[in-house]
Amino acid sequence: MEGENEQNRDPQESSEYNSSHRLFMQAMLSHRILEESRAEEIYDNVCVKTNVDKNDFSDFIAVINKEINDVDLALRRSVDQYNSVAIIALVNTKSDEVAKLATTYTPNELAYFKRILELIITADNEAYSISSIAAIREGPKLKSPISQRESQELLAKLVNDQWLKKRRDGYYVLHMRSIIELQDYLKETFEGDVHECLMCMEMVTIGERCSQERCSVRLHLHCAAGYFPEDDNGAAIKCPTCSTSWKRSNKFGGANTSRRSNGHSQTANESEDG
Amino acid sequence: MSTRTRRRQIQASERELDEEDYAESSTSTSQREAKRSRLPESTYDEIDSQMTLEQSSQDLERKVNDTVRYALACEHRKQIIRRDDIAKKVLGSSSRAFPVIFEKTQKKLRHLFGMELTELASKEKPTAAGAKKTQKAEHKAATSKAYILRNILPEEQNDPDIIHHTDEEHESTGLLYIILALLFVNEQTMDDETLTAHLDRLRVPNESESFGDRPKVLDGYVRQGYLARQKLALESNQSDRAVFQYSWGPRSKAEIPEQNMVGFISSVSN
Repeated sequence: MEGENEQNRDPQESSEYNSSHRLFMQAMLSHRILEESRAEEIYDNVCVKTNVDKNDFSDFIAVINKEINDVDLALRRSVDQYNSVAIIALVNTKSDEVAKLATTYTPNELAYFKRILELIITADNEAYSISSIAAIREGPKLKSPISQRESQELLAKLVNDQWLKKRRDGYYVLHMRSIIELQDYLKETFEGDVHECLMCMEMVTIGERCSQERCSVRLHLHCAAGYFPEDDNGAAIKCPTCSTSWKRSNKFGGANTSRRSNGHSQTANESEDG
Repeated sequence: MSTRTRRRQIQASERELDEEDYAESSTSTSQREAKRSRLPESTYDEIDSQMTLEQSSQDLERKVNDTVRYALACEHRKQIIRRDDIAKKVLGSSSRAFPVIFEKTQKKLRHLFGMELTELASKEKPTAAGAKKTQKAEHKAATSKAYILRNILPEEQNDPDIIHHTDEEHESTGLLYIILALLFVNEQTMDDETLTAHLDRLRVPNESESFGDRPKVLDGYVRQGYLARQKLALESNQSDRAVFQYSWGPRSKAEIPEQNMVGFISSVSN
């Protein structure tokens, strides 16, 4: 096998998988998802600890991805749609029985999580959120019911494990880990309710949308900011697909502080865990 | 042998020369079928066995990769990895290939993650009461067929700035170390009442924000293999309730070298 030879090769060779990649993988296994700037700091520390010369971060990640592809893992880079910060996540690329085991959840807990995902994705007016009260009340309604208290504990665990995010207003939204790792599942299961950003083609649950009801164009906040000219907040800008004039204020998924849906205010977009 | 058959054989061997790398090329089924109809039986078998070999080596790779993922998943939950579970949940029909797959899995775990599967010490029953049973068991079970995934990178690389531990993990580890230290200085075992008294004295409350329900916490340590718990046989039990005896679990023995524990204890007493 390949691995055999690699151990004997010069560990300083940056294009080969070496002790720095190994330690960085351990870091990613423990973090799962983190800001890219933090990941680069960790990479610095890793290089010091393993005594390996620092390489270009992207090249370093590419070497890892080439190796871990075999075991259906990948380091995926993305942008946090809530705060526009670059992030990196370790994800399973295959969702089979074995991948299911990777979760620390019981089948019951998974059923609850799936239900919450459904309610978030299918929320009215593309709110992509669920209130704490509604979420807690779902537990007892399951086929194998769990109590409200158990639901509450489970929600805390899901937030802790970075699957869900709790906004300051007490609403739960998808954490970036869910967006990155469960994207395929969500797109397949809730076809029509899941939108992709026209710019980056990644799933989007908070951003700007076309004023034309029938137009499917959605943009991440950061993608929209990059696409539309800075100080031109008016009639001049148009939807890239249907040419309807684009209103920067026409937002969804709790991005707009003034918008109200379902009679619940959708203000604070910041999460409790920061 | 008829002339016709011979001619076919000659044709076939010529074709074989042309297509030596036949088995490696990704020939479609229809092409393969077409060739079959022109080749004699013996050549079918040859090709078949080559195909099977290739297929089985791919299959083997797949099983190795699945075992790697299974091991990572179990360790994530701090669940003990059992050979039976690997055979049942991952290998399925190819469970006879376990030794080969295990070796390749180890190589891959070491290479990709700097980790390896470590077999846990088989169950010992530390009490006098269990002695009769144990003697038999010791002879029988030389290996536990249970593993944990252990970090084999140099200890100085296990830096909190690199490897992340949640607050709960820190709290849980802290309490565990205290219990392990208590057991260590008490000649490796302690009954539940004494342990509880110690925890009370250390103000580890029965129920708390950070540790949760104390019996549950202990159950967790037992499940993860950090602590071993054994019910004392009645004859050595003078009280009227069931008495349990705690000792170091197999995971603790595998993960924590004795001198680390000595270091930990002496760092407290100094």
